[in-house]
Amino acid sequence: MAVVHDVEKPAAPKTSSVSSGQSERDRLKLMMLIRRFEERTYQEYTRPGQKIGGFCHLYSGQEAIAVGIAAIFDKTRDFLVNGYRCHGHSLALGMSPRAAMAELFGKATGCSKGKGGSMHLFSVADGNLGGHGIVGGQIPLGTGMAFSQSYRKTGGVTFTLFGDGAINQGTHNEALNLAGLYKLPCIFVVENNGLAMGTQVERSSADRDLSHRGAGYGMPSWNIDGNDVDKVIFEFGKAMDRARSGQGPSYIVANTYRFRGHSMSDPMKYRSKEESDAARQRDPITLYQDRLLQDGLVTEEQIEQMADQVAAEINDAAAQADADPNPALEDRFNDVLAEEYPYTPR
Amino acid sequence: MPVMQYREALRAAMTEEMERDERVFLMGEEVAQYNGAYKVSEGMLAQFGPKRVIDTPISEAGFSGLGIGAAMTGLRPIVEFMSMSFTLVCMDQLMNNAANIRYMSGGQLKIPITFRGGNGIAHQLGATHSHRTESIFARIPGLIVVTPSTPADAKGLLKSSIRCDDPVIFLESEKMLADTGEVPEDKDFCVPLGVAAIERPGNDVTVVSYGRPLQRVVRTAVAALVADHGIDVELIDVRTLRPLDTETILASIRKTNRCVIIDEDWGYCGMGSGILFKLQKPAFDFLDAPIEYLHSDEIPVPFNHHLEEAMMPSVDRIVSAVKEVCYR
Amino acid sequence: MSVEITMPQLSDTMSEGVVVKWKKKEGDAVKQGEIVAEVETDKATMEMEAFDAGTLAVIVVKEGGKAGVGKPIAVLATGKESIDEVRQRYAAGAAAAPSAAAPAATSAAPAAAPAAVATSAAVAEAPPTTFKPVHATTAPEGDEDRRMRVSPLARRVAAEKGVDLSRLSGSGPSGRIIRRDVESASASPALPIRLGSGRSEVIELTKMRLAIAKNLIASKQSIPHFYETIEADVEALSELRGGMNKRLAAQKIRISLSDFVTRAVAMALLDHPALNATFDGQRVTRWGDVHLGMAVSVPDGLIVPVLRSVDQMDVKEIRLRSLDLVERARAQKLKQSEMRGATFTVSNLGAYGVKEFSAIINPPEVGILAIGAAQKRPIVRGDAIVARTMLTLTLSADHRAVDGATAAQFLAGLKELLEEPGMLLA
Repeated sequence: MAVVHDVEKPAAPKTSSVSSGQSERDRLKLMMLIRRFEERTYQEYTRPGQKIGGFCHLYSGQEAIAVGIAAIFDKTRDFLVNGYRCHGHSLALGMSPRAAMAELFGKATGCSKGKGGSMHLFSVADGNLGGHGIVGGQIPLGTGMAFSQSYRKTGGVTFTLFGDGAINQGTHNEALNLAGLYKLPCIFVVENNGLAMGTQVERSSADRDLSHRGAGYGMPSWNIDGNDVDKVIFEFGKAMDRARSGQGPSYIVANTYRFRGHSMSDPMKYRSKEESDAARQRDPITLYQDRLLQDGLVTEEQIEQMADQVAAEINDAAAQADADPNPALEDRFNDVLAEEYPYTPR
Repeated sequence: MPVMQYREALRAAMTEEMERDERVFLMGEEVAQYNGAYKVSEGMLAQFGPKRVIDTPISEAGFSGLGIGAAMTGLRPIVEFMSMSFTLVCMDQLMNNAANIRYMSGGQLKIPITFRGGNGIAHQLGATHSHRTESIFARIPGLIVVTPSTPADAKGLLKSSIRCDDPVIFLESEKMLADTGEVPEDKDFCVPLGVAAIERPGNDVTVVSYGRPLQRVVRTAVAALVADHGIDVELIDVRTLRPLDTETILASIRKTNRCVIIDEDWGYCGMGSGILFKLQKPAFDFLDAPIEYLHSDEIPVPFNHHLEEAMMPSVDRIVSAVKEVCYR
Repeated sequence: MSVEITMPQLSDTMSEGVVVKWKKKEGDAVKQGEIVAEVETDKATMEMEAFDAGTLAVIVVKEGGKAGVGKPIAVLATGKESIDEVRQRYAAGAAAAPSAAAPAATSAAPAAAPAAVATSAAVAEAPPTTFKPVHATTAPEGDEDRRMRVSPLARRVAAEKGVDLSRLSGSGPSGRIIRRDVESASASPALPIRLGSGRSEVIELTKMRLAIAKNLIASKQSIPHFYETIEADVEALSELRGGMNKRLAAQKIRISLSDFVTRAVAMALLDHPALNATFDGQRVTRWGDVHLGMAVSVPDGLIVPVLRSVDQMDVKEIRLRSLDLVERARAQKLKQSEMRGATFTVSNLGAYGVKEFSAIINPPEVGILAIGAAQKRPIVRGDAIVARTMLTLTLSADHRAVDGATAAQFLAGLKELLEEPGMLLA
């Protein structure tokens, strides 16, 4: 049975300029930084001594989406909200690896002062409104942020990200309906890595084409290749133009793959070796690297240099985070409420 | 001073705050075109237009989360629940997002949102529409829980709640909306949050209650105790359940040496048991009798009117309990 | 710079692993992400990736060998150093020391094999606690009856008023003693028990009474007591007391006349150290601090707890501390230090209406003051007879250590303080 998409896909984005190559090299380096950070996090997590406690969800393999969004993101007025696989986007939007790693270690210098952890990386100054732990719990929040942008007429858009598991939550349905009904500048992004923890999309969604899930809410909804940075920028750009011009929300399914397990404790029994190997052929970093090499925007030497710089940067970040202090015990009482009580308005 | 209904007082509070601050808006089911399921927001759509008075579909998780997202990014939403019983379907947004986001972000964000709605047992609405949600919310760090029992407090507390930068759960009752009382006209009349009121000073016994139970039976019982039994009751209206003004209650117990707490919640882990916990130890040396806590029977709320009445504390039960702690 | 490959901890219960198979030999080039070995954990066999690129310089743990988690199993030479250098370093037993600044480089990708980690997080969990079931018990029957039930408020009021709770029966539920029981008790003491005609009762002296008896004999037989009596007009003092108590009512403090007398005695003793003294038969020791013994009657006899350094206390403190001492004396909760070391003792039978009496000295002290009831009596002022509130005080002193004039001077000084209470402030 065909599903009717009643809203046409938006047109190609308007802006496009001749590139010197610097932005592209920066993007490649950023992807490498994210990859290196996540791999280092894995190492730290599996070392004895429990420096990173609790849950930890790695982004390796999905970097193109975060970096693609960051390329078109306007910090002065855009917002991004995410589920718990949030390290990549946080770094992409500008969080320092030290602040991120320190937060994973629970240190006072972490972006959330050690009170959030891996699932709750926030950086309001970057437009990064968190890391959220309950699957799908963040989707209505994204709708609200877009509501605020529409109400205050800032021209900003909100990227609301979630995984292929979250689309089955009730909040997904409610938030999409509200966004379509109120025509909010919200770009819903499904980072479809094919798996909700250990459950493949085929075993959790009655309809395998996830772009159909965005139908019926008054917004265009389509699939894109989430491993190709250029395509991500192009497609998201369409959604962004649509949102900024007041035409309302979009629903983009960015198809990708995650190299690591769902989280640290996941042995990935549900994956075959062939599947993993095939996915690694489409490593977004390799794809982008090849594209830039082909277009003469980067040299092998530069790539090696970038790798070294990134390695050093992550090493430093981890060493600093390691040396950083834990929050003072008394700090656990801070940041619960904004006002003093009894409260009388001024 | 003008006399008005509780619902008019709420409306006045919202209207004044929306006139004063453009960032304030109202959203909920039937608040706009229907003029409010219980007519609290009557006329507000006409005054402010559809941008600021917004009807929502039946999606509590969706629109409460929307409100929180808007509060995170510069707006000051008022979200109306048609009944606080409906918050059970959006508990994650309230208990995890509204309450925790400030903390989890290390203080980077504040959530200046007010959630309001009719709370508790109304009349014959059955087991799923009669939830006393105060004990669910009052235990959550990061939330403020407010419960006015008079029109003046309804206005003053709602204004403070809207101006406050923290998430407030504002508990009303369908059965109090038509109550009338004097309400100050001053557009800056705000009642502080976190302060209890001594509604009737006395010397013999401290009676503690709030919201609908106070309005429904406690006031009547206190009047009977004073007039018919010669017991000089000091009646305290808690007004804010979180944070609780323990100082006012303790000062009263130091004077009277006995205390009776009354609510309509289920006793075990109910609202009154939380209040009792805060009082027990500091009041110990001043108590001539154990602290008494009267509450509803631990059953789902029945439909039949008599059964529903029998479930809740009655005037007679309250009078007996107070006399007992006075050893009369 | 060389980089160690270490044994990873892949589950919270893993403490060591076994190298099953090396996929690379010493001298092989290694690419980042390449599988270099298979490692067996406590749950499954996993593949290990290299995190860095380089050359496999040293295999530290051979196939079949074990290593603790975090310990090196191989070393990679990265960058420009030579394999031989690295080998030498490790052959010299530097296996324990990781190379400067470079972190251990290792990562393990789980093979498509049985799960290595079963728990939901690699977080080390404390071993599960074993709870012993607690059986709900009800207190044995006897306990219920014997236990005295008192409301906290009643207990406090009883302590303040010096009411003995064990003499009361409670009017509250289950015989709970409540405030009004205490208040009515302190208003009217219990009726004495009559023996009945023709009957007699033999009472053995308790240990405490025997000890008291012994001390009294010793005192009376060895100390040459002499006695001096003086009367003080305490009308002004009573008024002062009334006014103060009005103000202190809010703090629930009631100062009694004897608290004022205590203060006056302390001040007088400082001015007349001859009385604030002890005598060992040869030498008199005069003391710079006033530690006042206060005779307290208890059901079993007499206890004299000591109020230490009472000369440094104001009347409020005297009131609070003596209340506390008396309560604890009656509850038999005095510390040893509070039962000895007195430099002077006072005894007060005023509560019973006794006009005057003389007390027996507690050796090694040299004096004891007996305080009677404050009563309105007719006295002569000028040529008129007026009604004044008078207090009679009798000093017993050890004539070996104190002579008459000295004792009289002490009493005169005390009288002055009591008749002119403003002097208590001087």
